[in-house]
Amino acid sequence: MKKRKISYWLGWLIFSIGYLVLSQWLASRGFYTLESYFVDYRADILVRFPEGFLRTFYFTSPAVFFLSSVPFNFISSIPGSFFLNALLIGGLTNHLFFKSWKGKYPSKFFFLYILFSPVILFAGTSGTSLAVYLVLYYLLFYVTFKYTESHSVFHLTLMSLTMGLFVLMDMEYMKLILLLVPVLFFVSFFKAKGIRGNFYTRASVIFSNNSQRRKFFTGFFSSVLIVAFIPLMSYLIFLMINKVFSGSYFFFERSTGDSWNSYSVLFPLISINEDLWPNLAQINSRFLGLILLLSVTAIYQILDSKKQAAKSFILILVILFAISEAADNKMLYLDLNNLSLITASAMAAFFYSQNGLKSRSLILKVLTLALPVLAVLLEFGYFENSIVQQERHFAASIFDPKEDPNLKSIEKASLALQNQNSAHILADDAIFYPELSTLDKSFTWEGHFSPYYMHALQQPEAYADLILVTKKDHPLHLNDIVATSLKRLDSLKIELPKKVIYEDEYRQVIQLIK
Amino acid sequence: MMHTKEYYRKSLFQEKGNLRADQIERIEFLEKSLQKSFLKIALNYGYLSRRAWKKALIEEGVELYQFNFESLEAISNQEVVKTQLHRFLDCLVFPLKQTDDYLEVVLSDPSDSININNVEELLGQKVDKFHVAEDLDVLKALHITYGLDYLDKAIFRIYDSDRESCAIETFTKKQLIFIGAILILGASLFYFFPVGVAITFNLILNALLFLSISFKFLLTLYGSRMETSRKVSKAELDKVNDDELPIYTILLPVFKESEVIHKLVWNLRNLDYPLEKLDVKLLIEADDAMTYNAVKDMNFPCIFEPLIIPPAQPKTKPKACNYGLYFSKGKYLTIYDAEDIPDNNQLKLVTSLFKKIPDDYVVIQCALNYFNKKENLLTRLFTLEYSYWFDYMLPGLDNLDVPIPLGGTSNHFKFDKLMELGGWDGFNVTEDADLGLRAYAKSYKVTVLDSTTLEEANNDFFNWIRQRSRWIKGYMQTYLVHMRNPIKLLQKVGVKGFFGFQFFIGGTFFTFLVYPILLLFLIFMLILNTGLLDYLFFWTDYSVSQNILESIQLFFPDWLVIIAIFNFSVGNLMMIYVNMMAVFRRRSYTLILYALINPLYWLMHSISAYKGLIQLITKPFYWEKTNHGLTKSSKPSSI
Repeated sequence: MKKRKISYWLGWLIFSIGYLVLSQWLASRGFYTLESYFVDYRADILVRFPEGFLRTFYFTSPAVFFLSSVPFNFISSIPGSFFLNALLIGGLTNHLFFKSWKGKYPSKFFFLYILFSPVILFAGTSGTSLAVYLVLYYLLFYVTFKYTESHSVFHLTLMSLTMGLFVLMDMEYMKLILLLVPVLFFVSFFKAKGIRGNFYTRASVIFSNNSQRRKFFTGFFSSVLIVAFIPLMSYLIFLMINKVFSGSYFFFERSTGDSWNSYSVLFPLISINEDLWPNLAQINSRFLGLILLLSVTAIYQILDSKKQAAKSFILILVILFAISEAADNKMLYLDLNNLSLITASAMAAFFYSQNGLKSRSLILKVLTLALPVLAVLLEFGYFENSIVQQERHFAASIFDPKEDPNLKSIEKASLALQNQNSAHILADDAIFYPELSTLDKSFTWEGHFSPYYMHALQQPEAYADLILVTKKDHPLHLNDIVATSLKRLDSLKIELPKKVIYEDEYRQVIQLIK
Repeated sequence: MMHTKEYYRKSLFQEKGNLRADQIERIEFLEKSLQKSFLKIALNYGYLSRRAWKKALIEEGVELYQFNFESLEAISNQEVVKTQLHRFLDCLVFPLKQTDDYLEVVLSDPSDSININNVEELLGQKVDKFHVAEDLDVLKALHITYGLDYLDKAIFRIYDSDRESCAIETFTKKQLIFIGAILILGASLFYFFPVGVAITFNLILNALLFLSISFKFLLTLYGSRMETSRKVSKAELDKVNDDELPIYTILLPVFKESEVIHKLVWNLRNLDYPLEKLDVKLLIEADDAMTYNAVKDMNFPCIFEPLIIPPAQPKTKPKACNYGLYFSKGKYLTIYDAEDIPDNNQLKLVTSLFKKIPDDYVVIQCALNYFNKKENLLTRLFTLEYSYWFDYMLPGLDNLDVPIPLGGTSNHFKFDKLMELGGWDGFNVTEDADLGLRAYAKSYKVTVLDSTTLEEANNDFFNWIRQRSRWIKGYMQTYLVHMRNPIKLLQKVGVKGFFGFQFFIGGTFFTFLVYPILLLFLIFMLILNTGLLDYLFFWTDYSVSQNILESIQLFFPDWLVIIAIFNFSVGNLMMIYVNMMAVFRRRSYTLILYALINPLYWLMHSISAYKGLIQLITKPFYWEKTNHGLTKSSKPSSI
């Protein structure tokens, strides 16, 4: 027992180190994600600016990802979010490794997919919130599959707790409850006491008897309530905190700078891919191709589900859910944070159902062996065609690393700032968090968290030594509150004594002469 | 009146008592196997009602002897009666007067010559004169005259053998010094650093409340992991051979509960356990005329043996149960309340489980729930609470191997181990919780079993407050007793057990005491923050609230208010949720929404907690009596 525990912990450590090393290798090839910069930045201002503590603590999105990353930020050389990713995905991989080891041959082979799946690699190495989403999706679907079998309150509660964590990642994920409602509905048929037989027999007995029907519906609605309670209440508490903090229940929706792309989801799209716009056009079905590239494991699981109707049912629901979401708003939902629910549900389905594997035909055996390879290849296909720049960049960093103009611009601007000794900076930190996160303790700045921010925008010279501002080629130039206020001062013919100490295509560092 | 007439069993029992020949034969068989008198078996094993027996005696022309219990005196040869009290109780014979050449007794069955011979043998001389009295009167006379040694042991055994574990002393000198020192230190620090101390105090209260509730939530979650597993499978239960079952003692402490005696008989009859292997003792206080007369007047056969507890203080349930221990014959022993409806296979499940688990397990606690759960709002809330407590929390403690505070009833003991532990502490008003901890401290273990006993939920607000104040006071007593020497406790129960004890026993009353303070604080801040104070109380547009807020902000900064709100909301929601989980498991779906008013239920707990705290100081051993039999619900709702 003790030996098993030691090997489990050791396995976790080894996989985590593996992901961490890989993330550094990718970084050396020019791969970066703005979300990791953002989390690093927010962790920094959490301790650096006491006046911004409450806001940073409660309103950094995604909250679970941010708050879990903070403890790892004591190591300055690597951002905490990379550690968290490596630990989470290392833990998941290790857990699945032990499951595969104990399982039959298909699961051993399937572990190759876990090791080489680009989705899992991206989650483990990118420093983004995908790692948390992937683990939560896996957990949610694994306990959902378990619930269809055990009908226990324990699994129902775990579903609810996982949903609660989803809500703390992003309020919108409350919609996942809708995905669970049909599952709870059908499970309620099998929970009815004293009724045996298949689904149709049960349904006919239940609907033909008043008392049974009443019990069925009260049971079903109660199970929905049990699952929805924690996420709903998490939401409610969050609204209350908003109210107490700012006087508005929806402060988090209106505030700026509390998520890595709070101005616009276009933020990452500094370089526009030509393939992007056709994908985003309203009336076409090309986006289905991207979903299909991620769905091969799930489709295989749907087909390979003899006497496991619940498994197929849930996986079909998952794919339909992802399609309907993406069709609704491709720009928002056609990314891995949303689509990885297909990957995670397929993994959960595989490991949930592996005990039920029976002897299989030769074709099925060949398919089982081919599945991991096929799934990995198709997932790389997804990454190469993704509409999200950082996902495309991930694939490119592995196969064909190129210099990213935005990253280069960030690095140069950061360097220009660092060359100034201890300065007070005025910048829109909802845009310039990558640059600000690289500054040491001798620098301070005014940002959205600061109570003096509005004053500083009106009188920059009184509050700052340096101004960091976007230029018109930057996609968020129109959102840059500092750029706007400088234009305003200009239009009022208020001239600032200034000197440009750095500029490129996207950004500018201005020194205020005092 | 002296009887010279000959009495015959056939005439008394068959002709006048209406017993069939086969019943008489069966009783005679049991008389030999159980070594009890014929009448005792007829009356206590469901053959003959007490009223029918009295009628039979009167029809036979017997004038019943009336005891004057106030003036009863022990005979000169009292040592024999005291040492052989069990035999006198079994024979239903009370020696009234004895001199060297004269013996006068009161007996209940004048047709039982074997009994009379037995008594003559015990007392060493022939009976010269006998009277006939009702069996209950004879029992009472025997207990109050000769049971005083047992009574003394029932009250003081723990005190005599393990003084440190006895709640007779509420606060020890060391504890008083410690509490005093903390208060003085707190007041001094507050004088010098008022802001820091106020904030720290607030933070500590919040943190402890949060930890305590989180512990309960995690415990519930942990307990729910095991909900689908069965400790004793159906196959194992089917294998149980009735002939191999041991004698099982059931103690039924009652006090002024004449209303529920009838129900009790029916509930006991439903138990799936061989009747002759049941040793059921109805524990009646000697001065409880109500129950006493109700039993005397029962017009249907019962299956319990009344046992009269001689009058003494403290008048508590543990004292009664301890007294009952000395007359128990079972290998296993359990306690039920008079209105309890245990699962009919509960005793067999327990015997099977005791066989399966290691020897160091000495107690099995079964789940409790209520049959009148839908009677009113209070019974609904009570059901919610009991459901999570017994279905999730105790199994959670069990799985974590943390001391389990036993519930009031349906705890099944190994009799010899219970005696070794010294029984219950008669001075502790939650003697059951205390006993669970004492068992752990002696390296024994307690486990739970998924078998339910349905009880009567308290349906009256004031009755509920009384009951709950006793429970909470008992938890305080238990905490104080076991924390007399924290290091020793830590050594005895280990780190896990120690912290489990702190959060589960200490945390329980602590949360109820702190809850209203934090609630008032939050309401106060809410009224100030929303400006309600200006509109509701001052009727002015001038911001009085703002001024107050500014003046107290030093003590209650914004971050502290947000932490308090978060903490309080999450704490309440966690408790609401565990309530929901538990009734969902029991499929009492209609009760789920009632969990939302759990915060109000907690306020009721807080009222009880403060009442308990006051009583802990003023009347530590006072037993707040809970009235039973108030329910109008007669049959259990489906569980």
